Amino acid sequence: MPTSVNAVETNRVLGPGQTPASIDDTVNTPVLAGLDRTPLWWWIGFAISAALLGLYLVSVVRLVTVGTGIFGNNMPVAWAMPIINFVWWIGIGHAGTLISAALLLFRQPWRTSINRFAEAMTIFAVVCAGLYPILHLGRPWVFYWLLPYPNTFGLFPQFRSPLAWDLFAISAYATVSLVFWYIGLIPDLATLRDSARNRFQKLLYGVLSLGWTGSARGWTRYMRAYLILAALSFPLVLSVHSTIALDFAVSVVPGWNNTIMPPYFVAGAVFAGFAMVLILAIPLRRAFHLRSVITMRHLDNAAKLLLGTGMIVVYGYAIELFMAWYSGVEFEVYMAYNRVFGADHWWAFWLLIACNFVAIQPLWFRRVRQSPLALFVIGVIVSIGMWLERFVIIVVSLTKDFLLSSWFNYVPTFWDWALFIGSFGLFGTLFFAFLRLLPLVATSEMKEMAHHDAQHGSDHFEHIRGEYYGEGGRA
Amino acid sequence: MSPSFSASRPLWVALVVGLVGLLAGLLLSLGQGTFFGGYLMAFLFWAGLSLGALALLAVNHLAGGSWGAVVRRPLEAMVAALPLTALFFVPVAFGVQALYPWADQAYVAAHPLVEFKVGYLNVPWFVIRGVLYFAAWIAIAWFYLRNAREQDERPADAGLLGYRMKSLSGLAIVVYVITVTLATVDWGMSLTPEWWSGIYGLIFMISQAICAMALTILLMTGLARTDAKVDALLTWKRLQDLGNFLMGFIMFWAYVNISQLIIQWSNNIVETNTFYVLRFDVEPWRGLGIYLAVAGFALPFLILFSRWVKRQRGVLAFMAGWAILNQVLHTYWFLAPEVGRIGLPLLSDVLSFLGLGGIWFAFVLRSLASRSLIPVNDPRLKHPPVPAHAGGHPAPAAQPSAAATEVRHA
Amino acid sequence: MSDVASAPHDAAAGGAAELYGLAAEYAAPEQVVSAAEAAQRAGYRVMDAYTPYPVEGLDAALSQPSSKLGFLVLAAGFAGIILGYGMQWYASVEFYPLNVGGRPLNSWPNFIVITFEVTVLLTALTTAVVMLLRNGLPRPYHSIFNTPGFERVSRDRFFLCIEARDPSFDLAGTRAFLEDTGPLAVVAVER
Repeated sequence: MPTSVNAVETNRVLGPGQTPASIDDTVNTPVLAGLDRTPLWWWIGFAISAALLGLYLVSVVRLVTVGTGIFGNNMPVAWAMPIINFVWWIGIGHAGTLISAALLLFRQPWRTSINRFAEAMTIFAVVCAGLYPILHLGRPWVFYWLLPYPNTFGLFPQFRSPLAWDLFAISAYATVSLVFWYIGLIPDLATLRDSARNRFQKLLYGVLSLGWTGSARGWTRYMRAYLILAALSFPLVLSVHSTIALDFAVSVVPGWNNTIMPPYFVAGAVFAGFAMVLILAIPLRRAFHLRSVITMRHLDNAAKLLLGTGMIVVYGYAIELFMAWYSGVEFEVYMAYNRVFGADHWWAFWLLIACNFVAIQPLWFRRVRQSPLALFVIGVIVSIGMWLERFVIIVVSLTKDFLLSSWFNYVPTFWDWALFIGSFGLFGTLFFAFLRLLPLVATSEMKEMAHHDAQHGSDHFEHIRGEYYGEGGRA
Repeated sequence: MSPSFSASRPLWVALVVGLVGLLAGLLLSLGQGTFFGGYLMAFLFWAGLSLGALALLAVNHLAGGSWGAVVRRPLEAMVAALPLTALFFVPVAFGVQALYPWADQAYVAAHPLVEFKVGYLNVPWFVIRGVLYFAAWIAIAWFYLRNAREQDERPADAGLLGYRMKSLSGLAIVVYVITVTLATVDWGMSLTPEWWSGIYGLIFMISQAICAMALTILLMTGLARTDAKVDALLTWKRLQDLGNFLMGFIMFWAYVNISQLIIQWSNNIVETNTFYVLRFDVEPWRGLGIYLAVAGFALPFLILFSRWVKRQRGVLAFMAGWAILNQVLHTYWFLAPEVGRIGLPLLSDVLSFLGLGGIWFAFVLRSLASRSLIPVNDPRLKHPPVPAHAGGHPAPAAQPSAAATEVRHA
Repeated sequence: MSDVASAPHDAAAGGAAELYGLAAEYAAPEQVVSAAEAAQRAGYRVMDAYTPYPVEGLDAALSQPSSKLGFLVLAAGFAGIILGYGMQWYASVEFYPLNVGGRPLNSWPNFIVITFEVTVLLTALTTAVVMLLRNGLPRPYHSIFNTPGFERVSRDRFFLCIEARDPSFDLAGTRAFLEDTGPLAVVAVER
C-alpha cells in the first residue's frame, strides 16, 4: 500500500485517496518495524552522526580542560564562532514551533504533515544552541550561577543585562517547545501503543501515551489546551529571537544597536528554520515514501514562506545600512562602509547577499518551487547564508573597534570548527533516534484532515490553480 | 449592481464636516505658522488608513480564507481613496519649510549631523520621492480595483482573476514595504533630523494595519445591520477571525514599540535617546504613554482574549472603535512633540483632522455604495467542488472528472 | 463526577466480572455523533465517545460543559507577571541595589523580557498540567481498554460507551438501543 499510493506527486495538501488507516500504515510502519528491518541509510546516517558527536565530545573535553583559549576569540572580537553558531542553531530552532503554532492559529491545513518533525528539529536545534553559551562561559560547570537562586554569595543575576534575559528566553522556549511537542504527540503515541508489535514497543509507547483513550471529553479539553499552547508559543517564538537580537542591539556597538534588529532577527530565524525544514523534508519524504503526505503543496508553501521571510531579512540588511548612513554618525557610517567595501570582510557581505537575496529570487517562479532538488539546494544555500549573516553582524562589526589601536582581525581555530561540526553530530544523533522511535508525521491530525479532505476538498484554489497552469484541472 | 445601502446622508455629512473643518482650521491658524503641524498628523493618519487597507488587501489575496473575501469591499473602498490622499499630500509639499528643520539653512549649518544628510533631505527630492510613493501606491490600487471590477462583471473568469490578484500580491507587498518605510522616514522621522530608528517604518505600518482592520470591522458590523447578505456572511466564525487579527495586530504593535523602547532606552546614546527622554520625562507625553500602554495594549489584549467578545458584533465593533481612537492618540504621541505641540492639540489640529477625515470618509462611502457589498464571484465564497473519491460519506454529487484528473504523475 | 457513581453494578447478570458498560463500534464519525445524540435524547447521561481524532459535534451531543481552562490560564498569566517582575524588582531594588551606568534601580524597560518569559512559561505549564489532570492522565489502567477491538479506536474506529452506572442503564434495553444506531458491533465492557 504505501509505495503505490505514495509514489505520486500531488499539489493537494493531502494525496488523493488517503484514509485514516492508510495514513497510519504509511507513517507508523517504519517506526514499528523490527530492528532488522531498519533501512541501511538509517544506519549509515546514524553512524556518521555518532562519529561527529564523538568529535563534539572531544572538543568539549578539550574546552573544559584547557579553557576558552582554544578558540580564536580575543578582544575586541570576544563574541565569535561560539555566538555565531549559537545564533545559527537557535534560528533553525524557530521554524518548528512557529509552523506548528502560527499555522494552527491561522488555520492553514498544510501545517499538519510537517509540524511534528519540524518541532523535533526545533528541540534538537535548541539543544545544540543552548549548549553554546554555556560552553562559552569559560567555566561551564558553574553555569547555574546564571539562575536566580538564593545563594551564599548574596548575589542575584544582573537583570538589566540581556545575557540574563537570554537564559530565561531560551530555557522558557526549550521547555514550552518540549511540552507543546509532547502534548501533540500523545494521541499518536496511543496509536503506536495500540498497534505495537513487541513488548518493548508496548511498554515504551504505553508509558509515553499516559493512558490516552481518545475519549471525546478528553479530546475537547485536549484541543482547547493545545490551542492555548499554540497561542502562547507564537509570541514566545517571536520573543526568543527578539531577545537574541537584544543581546546585540542593547549595546552601543555600531552595526548592532539598530531598532530594526528584533523583528528582522525573528524573520531571519524563521527563514533559516524553513530552509532546514526543506533540507530535512525533501530526503525524508523520499526515504519514507511520504509523497502523498508531505506533498508538493507543502514544499511549495514552505518555499513561499522562505521567500517571504527572506525578503524581510533583506529588508533588515537594507534598513541597517540605510539607517547607518542616515544617522550621519561617523562610526555608524564607517561600519556600513566597512561591511560592504571593507578590505578584510567585503566578501562575507557579498556572499551573504548572494546566498540570502539572490539565491531565493528563483522562488518567485512556480517551476522552481515545484522542484524538490532546486528547493533542497536553495535550502542549503540559505543555511550557509544565515551563518554568514551572523558572521557579518558579529565578527565584522567587532573587528573594527572605536579606536584604531584596538582593531583586530579574527580567525577561527581548529577547535572552533571542530565544536561546530561536532554539533551537527549532536543534532543528527538526536534526529535519527527520533526518526526510528517516533512518528514523523502527526497521524491523528492527518486523519482528521483526511476526513475533512474527503468531504470538502483540499483548498479553495485547488481547481483554479490547475486551470491557471494549464494542467487541465490537475491541481 | 445597484447600491445596496443608502450612503447619501452620511456621505454628505462627512463631506460638509470635512470641507468646513479644513477651511476653519486653515483660517484659525492663519499667520501663526501652526497649521502644517496639525495638517501633517492628519495627513499621515488618513493616508495611513488607506495604506493599511492596501497592505491588508494584498495579504487578504495572498493568504486570506473566506473571511478575506467577505471583507474585500470595505478594504477596496479605502484603497480607492489613495488618489485622494495623494491630493492631501500637496499642502504638505508646500509646508516643508514650516515643518522640517532640515529645510532651514541656518539650522543645517549649526547641526553637522543634519548637514551630512541634506543630499537626501532637501525640498526637491522630498517632493519627487512623495510623487513616486503615490505613483506606486496608486498603481497597486488600480491593479486591484480593476481586477475586482472585472471579477464582478465576468463570473466565468472570476477564478482566474482571483488567482491573478493572489499571484501578484507578493510583489505588491514588497513595493508597499519599501515605499512606506521611506515615506515614514521622510514625513515623520525627519521632523527631528538628528534622530533615527530602524523600526520606525514598521511601527507605522502596523499602526496602519490596526486602523484598517478596525475600520473594516466597524464598516462590516454597520453594514450587516441593513444588508441581509452581509448579515448572513458575517458569521461568528469570520467575526472571530477578524477579532483575532485585530488582537494580533495590537500585540505586534506593542512588540515593535517595546523593541524600540528597550533598545533606545538601554543604548542611551545622545543621538537617539531624545525620543524617550522627551516622552518619559515630560507631561503630558508621559501620561499619554502610560495610557497607550494600558488602554492601547493591555486592556484590549485582555478583553480580546475572550472568544465571547470576538463573537459579539456590538462588542467587537466597540473594541475596533477604541483601537482606532488609540491609534489616533499613538500618532499624536509619536508626532506632536516633534511638531512643537505641548500637551493638548490646537483647535486647528483637531479641525484639520476632522476635515481630512470627513473628505476621506465621504469618498470611501461613495466607493462602497457604488458596488455590491459582497464580491459574490470571489472563488473563496464558493464551496469548493467535492472530489469524487469521497466515497463512504454522504457527499453531494461531485464533478465526475475531478478525481480522475486530480493526480499528477511525477 | 455525577452523583450516580454509586449506582448498582449487579445489572451485569451472571458474569463473574463486573460490567463497565456497553460499547458500540462505528466506522464513521457522523455515525457516532448521531448515536450520541440519540442516546442523549433517550436519557443516557454517563457515557463517552472514543475517537481517533476530535470529531465536531460530539461536544454538543455529549453535553460537554464549556471549559474553564481559559480562566485558569489567565490567572497563571497574572501570577507569572507578578512573579517575573517581582523577582527582578526585589533583586535589583531591595536586595542588592547596584548603579549600572546611571540607570534607575527599577529599570523597568529592561525587566520586560524576563517578565514576559516567566509569564509564558508559567501559563504554558499550567495549561499542559491542568489538561492532563482533568483528563485523568497519566492513568495506567482504564476499563474501556477491555473493549474487544478497542485497539482500532486510535486508528479508524469510533466507539460510544454507555456506562453501567448510568441510572437509565439496563443491559438488554441499552443493548437494543445501541443495536438500533447502526454500529458494526455492540460489545460488553468489563470493569
